[in-house]
Amino acid sequence: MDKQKVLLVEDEPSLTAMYQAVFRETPYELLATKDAKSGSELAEKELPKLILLDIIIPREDGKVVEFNKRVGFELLAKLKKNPKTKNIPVIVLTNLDSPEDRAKAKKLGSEEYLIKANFLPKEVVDQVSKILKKK
Amino acid sequence: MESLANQASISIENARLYNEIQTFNLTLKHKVDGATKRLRELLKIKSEFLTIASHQLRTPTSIVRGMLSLVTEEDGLSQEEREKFIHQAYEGINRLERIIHDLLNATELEGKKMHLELQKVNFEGLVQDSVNGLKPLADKQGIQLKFNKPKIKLPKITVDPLKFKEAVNNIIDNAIHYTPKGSVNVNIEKQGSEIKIMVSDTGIGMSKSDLKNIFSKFVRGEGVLQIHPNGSGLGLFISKKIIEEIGGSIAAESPGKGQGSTFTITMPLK
Repeated sequence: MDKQKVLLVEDEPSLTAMYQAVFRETPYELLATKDAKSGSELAEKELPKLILLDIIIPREDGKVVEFNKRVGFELLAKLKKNPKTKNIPVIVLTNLDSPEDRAKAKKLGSEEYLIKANFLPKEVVDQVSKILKKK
Repeated sequence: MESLANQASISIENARLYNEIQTFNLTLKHKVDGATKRLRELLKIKSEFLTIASHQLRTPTSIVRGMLSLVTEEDGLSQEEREKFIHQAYEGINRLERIIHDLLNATELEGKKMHLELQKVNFEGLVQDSVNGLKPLADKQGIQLKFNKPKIKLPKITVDPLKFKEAVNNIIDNAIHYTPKGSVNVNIEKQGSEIKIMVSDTGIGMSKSDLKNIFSKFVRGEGVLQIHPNGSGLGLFISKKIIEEIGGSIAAESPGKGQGSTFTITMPLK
């Protein structure tokens, strides 16, 4: 059976490598990208079953990270507006833990808000499975 | 008649006082409104600082915890992957240490007089040490880091050598991180009664609004606060504080985005 595609938008290479390693032995194929522009393009092209989305990411490859812009939220809003991607569940996977950020993620339509430091890689896989089983 | 005149005079005086009080109240209200607005802004900045600071601390924590959990619990890893993940866990701890150091430094520097251990030192040697220390980082990134030594012998200068080196390190480290390809050039020049250290890069450059905020801590503002993923976001803020405390100044210039930047530290010859 083909593996279900999960898209990870994460600009920290060591975290991407970590999630890729843990997803390898699961029923999911982890596609990874590191900026909002390619995240949007890949989501539209590959139509993954779920998206794991970091919030503090560059707008485009090679651009600097703008902490005060929370570019991940812009991508989340864009994904939820696009008829092709609006029904793909999104888990926000971040280390930002403020009530305002949590509220914004919820308002924009994310399914779950996980703090990376509080979830081991395999627990992130468990959360993905939990959401995909509900669908 | 006299009583009427008295009453009229009192009424006029009352009206004058009333107007005065009204004006005073209005001024006071403006001041209170202004102070409240500023206080709200400061609280917002403080709250944002804490959110970003904890984000910066949690990122290496996630790497260390995650990598170690993979190495100890995942069976499907190759030996090469295990070694790589252990190395990344170490790197994560180093990064965490640096962020803690910068956060403590930045908090300590805020509004306080810095404790300085001043010595007369050879300027060139200090800058050379910084360049040597950062050469491996530049090599890893595939960019050229070049120190163009001054043509004349420079006089010694009075600074706190450790703090001064930290400030110079931050500037060069920053230039390397923001230069995806090309070079970072470090020059020292004596200009009149001053010594200038110029760190020029061929990196991503800055817009005018970036330049305004470049020495701030992570503050929410009009301009773009640029932080490279491995940094604490406090390096330039700390450098500016140190250089100013030891009597110098620091400035940043850039022709614009994509056109490189130059940071200049100016120290007076005392």
